[in-house]
This record gives sequence, C-alpha cells and structure tokens, in this order.
Amino acid sequence: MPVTPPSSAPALAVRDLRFRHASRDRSFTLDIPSFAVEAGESVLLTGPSGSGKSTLLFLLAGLLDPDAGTVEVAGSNMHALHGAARDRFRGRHLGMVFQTFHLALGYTALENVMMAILFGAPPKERVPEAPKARAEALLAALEIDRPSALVETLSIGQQQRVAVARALACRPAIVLADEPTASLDAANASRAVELLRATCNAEKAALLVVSHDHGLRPSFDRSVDLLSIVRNPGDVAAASATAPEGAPR
Amino acid sequence: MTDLAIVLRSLRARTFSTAVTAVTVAIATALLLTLLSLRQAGSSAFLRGSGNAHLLVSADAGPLVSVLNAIFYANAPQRAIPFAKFNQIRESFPWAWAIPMQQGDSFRGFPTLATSPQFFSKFEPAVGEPWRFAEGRAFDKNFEAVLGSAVARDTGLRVGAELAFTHGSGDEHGHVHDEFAFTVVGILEPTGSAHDRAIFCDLDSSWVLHAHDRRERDGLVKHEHTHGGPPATTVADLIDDDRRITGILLRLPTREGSSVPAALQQQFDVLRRDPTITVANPADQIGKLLSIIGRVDLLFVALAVVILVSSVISILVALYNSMRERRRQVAIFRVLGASKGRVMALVLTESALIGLLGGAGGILLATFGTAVAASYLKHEVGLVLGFAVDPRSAVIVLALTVLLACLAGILPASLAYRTPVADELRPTA
Repeated sequence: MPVTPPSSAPALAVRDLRFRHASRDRSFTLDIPSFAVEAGESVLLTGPSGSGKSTLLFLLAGLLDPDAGTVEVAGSNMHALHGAARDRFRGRHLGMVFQTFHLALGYTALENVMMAILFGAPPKERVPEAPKARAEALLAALEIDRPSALVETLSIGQQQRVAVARALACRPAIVLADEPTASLDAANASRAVELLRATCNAEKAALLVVSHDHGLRPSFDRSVDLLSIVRNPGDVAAASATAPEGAPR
Repeated sequence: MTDLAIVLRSLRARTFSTAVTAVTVAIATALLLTLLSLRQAGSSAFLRGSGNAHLLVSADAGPLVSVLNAIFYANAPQRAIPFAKFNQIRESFPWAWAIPMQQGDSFRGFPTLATSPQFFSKFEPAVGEPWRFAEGRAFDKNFEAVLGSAVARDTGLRVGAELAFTHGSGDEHGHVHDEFAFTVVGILEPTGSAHDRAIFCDLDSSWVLHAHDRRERDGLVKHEHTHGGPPATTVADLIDDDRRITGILLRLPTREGSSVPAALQQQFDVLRRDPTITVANPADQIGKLLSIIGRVDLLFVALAVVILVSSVISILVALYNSMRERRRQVAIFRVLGASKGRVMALVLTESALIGLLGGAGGILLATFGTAVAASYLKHEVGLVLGFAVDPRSAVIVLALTVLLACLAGILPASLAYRTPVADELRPTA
C-alpha cells in the first residue's frame, strides 16, 4: 500500500516520451506512451541490460532532453524548464542514487548531504531545519557512525547509506535509483533495497528503482517490466540482446 | 555549508597541487613587488645627495656632469673656480647660504670634500634630514677630518685616528701627502647619499696640500716623506692661486610670499651669463637622469609582469589537469541542483583563490625579502634604501594577480560548464 501522498499530483508522470538512443554499434528509439509513479509509491522497473534503463533515468531527471513527450515531476513539466531553473528544480524535487553512488570524494559524509541542500536550496516550508541539523538527522537515521569522515574512507555499505541520505536531503517528491544493488551480494542487496524503500517511505518520497534484478520485487509496491511499457518492445529487446554485459547502454 | 566551503574543500583535497601553484604565483608576485620597490628606492636614493641646495655652480663641462661629480662623486672635477669667484657669487644675491666645495683628493679610494663648516650646519644631504654625527663633531680647525659612515665602516677608522690624503682619486695615481696628517674628529650617521663615502675637511687644509706641491715644484721646499717636525708649508704660505674650489652649493632664501621657482629661474639665468662657470639645478639634472634610467628599469618591470603571467598560467595548467578527475564531481553538483553557471563560478573562484593565496604569499615574501635586503645593503654596502613594499603597489599587484588568476580560470571553468552530466554518470565499467 502506498503511504498517504503529500500532494494529489503523481510523483512522476511520463507521456509519449520518445528518445532516439544511438551509439556506435546500435541504435533504437525508447518510446514510452505512458508511465507514472504515484506520490509515495515505490516501483521497481526491470529490464535487461542495454535496454536503456539508465538513459530513461537521465531523461526523467532532465539530464537528457527527449525528442518528444513530457516528464512531469510533482506536477511540473521538467523539460519545459531550461538551464539553471531545471537544475534547481531537479535538485529540489528529485533525489538520485547511482550504482557507484557518485559521492563527492574529498568531502565528508555530512558535507555530501549538506551540499545537496546547498545546491537544491529547498524552500523553508519543505526543509525548515538548519541544513546541518537536517543532514545529521538523516545520517543518524541511516546509522552512519562517522558523519565527519571523508566518504572515501567509509565502507561500501556506509557509502550507499550516505548516497541515500543525500538523495533525500531536500525532501524530494521522488528518488530515482539506478541499479543500487549491483555491487552487493543477494542478501545485502535485498537489505539495502529495504533500507532505501523504508527511508523513502519515512521521508514520504516516492521511489523508482531500475534494475535487471527481478529478485528485488517483494520489497516494492509495484514492479514494472520496461518491455511492457514501451511501444516497441521488439526493438528494445533486440538492442539489449546485442549489448555487452556490464556496459548497459 | 557554502559555495566557498565547497571550493576550499576542493583546494584542500589537492593540497600539493594547490601549494605548488600558489608558491609559483607567490614567487612571481614577490619578484614583481621587489622590482617595483627597488625601482622606487633607486629613484629616491638618487634624489638624496643634493638635499636642500637649489643650485650647483662648477667649472665642469656640462650641468649633468657637474651634478654627477659634485653630488655623486663620480669623478674628480677637472676644472677649478678661483675662490674670488665664490665671493663674487655669494655677494651677488642674498642667498640663504653659499657653500664652497673642493674635491679631487682621496683616501684609500674614498673621495675627499673640502668645504666650509656651513656644509654641516646649513646644508642637508636630504631635505628635512640634517647631518647627524654618530661620533664626535664637525671639523673646526685645520687638519681635522670628518668621515662619512661608509668610510668609517670600511676603513675601521675611529675618532682620534690619523690619515693622510692622496693627491688624485686613486691609490695608484698621485702621491700620498703623508707629511700632512689629518685627525678624525667626527663620524657621520648614514644618509643614504653618496656623501656617506666621502671624507670632509676644511678648505685651508686642502689648499695647503696643493700649495705644498706648488712650492715643491718651485723648489721652495724639498720633497720629503718624513714624519715628525713641523710641516714645511702652512696656511700662512697660501697665495690666492692656491685658493681654488671645484663647486658651489647655493640655496635661495625661502621667505613667506616669495616664489622660489621664479627666483631660482631668475638667478639661474643671471649666473648662466658668466661663461667661466656651469650652473646646474641638481633636481632638474637628476630628473633627466632618472628619465633615462626609468625607461631601462621599466623593462625589468615588464619582464616581471611576464613572469607573473606565466606563473598564473600554472594555475590554468593545474586546474585544467584536475578537470579530468573533477568532471564527475561537476556532474554530481549538477545532479544535486547546481547550474552550469554555478559550477563555472566554483572553478573560477578556486582559480581566484589560488591567485589570492599566491599574491598574499608574494606580498609577505617581498616584505620579508626587502627588509632582509635593506638591512644587508645598509650594513654591508652602506646603501640606505627606503626599500620597503609600498602598500599601494602591493594592493595593485594583488588585484592584478587575482584578475590574471580569474582569466586563467576561464578555460577550466568552461570545461566545467560544458561537462556532459549524463555521460559522466553512466555506470560504465
């Protein structure tokens, strides 16, 4: 059951999204007529490697521009915004967790979370606490025992928790996670996903995880196969079949 | 956490690169500042020496030569003026003072200057800085000598010591008047002028040396180099022809309501009508000299600016090299909501901060360096240079360094601006 949504608009709504995915050896068009994640809902989006899952996340985050269609986050059309406005919108309303975490090296765990608040600059009514207090509370909730240590000195598990804390720092409408468990074994993977889901739940953020790992399904409200939401599953499947493992494009 | 904290962290994460780059900039900044202050010190050192004298009269070939000889002791003046001419000039106008000078002898290579006691009581080697005695007093009898500070330091002579002048400016040429011993009665404080390297005595004593030579040539006295006994020539033996001087320092009266420049020009023109003498305005001549030197040392300053520019390019190189590893970081900042402009500003700030750090270090280095150099020059060379970093040029050089650092940051900052976020963050192996 999804938790009570903070607003009536879905956390994420995709309509007629088209993006021509091209690389040296293959190209196909990602074509999604409709896809939505309700406020507070947790969704697992599965698909084979090379089917364009990461590309889809970058499109949803406004880091890539689609050829056509709209992506609405918390009711606003992400791609209608440009430049600094879109960056600011992404920082405020979207949290991202990457497979390799992409923490800012050379900064402490606390600083990594605080810089999300610095760059996202969420409005006071959404994050009324002082940035440092907010970051400390999140890190404590995620059981980071050394928040003042440089992130590169933390264990992989702790680093992942810092990445989760950073994604949630601005109380976003939705957290997008790309293969968050790829570097973990099966037992740790389901524990990590459970932590991610529970934290998002506690912070009232929707969660969209993309993964090739169908085993994660039980942790989510809903599971969706990418091939089931695209208009051209044949093309996508054919493209992914030729993709070399470990280089999903 | 602020943007500045983000930048400071980034600088600290690359401590070695930051330090090396900042030190490079600091050395270049210090070099530029030192050259600038050396330039000012050199100019002001040249302005010392003629002090509060308004005009210099000599028989030298030209005004610049006469100033170089009389004020800077470059060479012994070649031609003399009869003392009668001094009296004539002195009485021609109500001068504040007129001081006769006779140069041409030396002691161990240090030039001598025979003059009147007013040289110490009225003349100031630098305006507003009258003579001060480190030891003893001015001469008031014949065959008493006063040593410039550099002479005392280099020869080790103290008050009470005896010395004999050499006719001519070198030790090898001329001969030593060792039958006439001068007693040191005073040692001067450093003035930062060429007078520090001179030995002073009264005119009569100097004239006696020359009268003795004349009498020797005429067969009136025998050439003798024996000590003891009364000298064969005394002041009583002087004839008018012995009484020659090589220069006259003049000062116009400075009264309320009278214009010194106008009177100066007027007296300058009057004196110039006399074809037997050369009249010079020392300040004008030194100004001309400095304008020649000024062009040369401007070249050094230009060179130092080039060095500063190339040191700032090292900031560009350091940042540019780090951009490869920082592109991922820039992409992370973008995901977190930082705009392209903001990440560009972060890199520019970082560049400017390295410039500021290096510039500030350079000011410290130059301040310390000039203090050490000034102390060395004063104690080892006897050169008193007002040799310190001028706060105004320090601020200008610092601003220049930061500005150049900002320019150097533009290329790395534009790399940050153009970082393709999605490509940087793809989970490729």
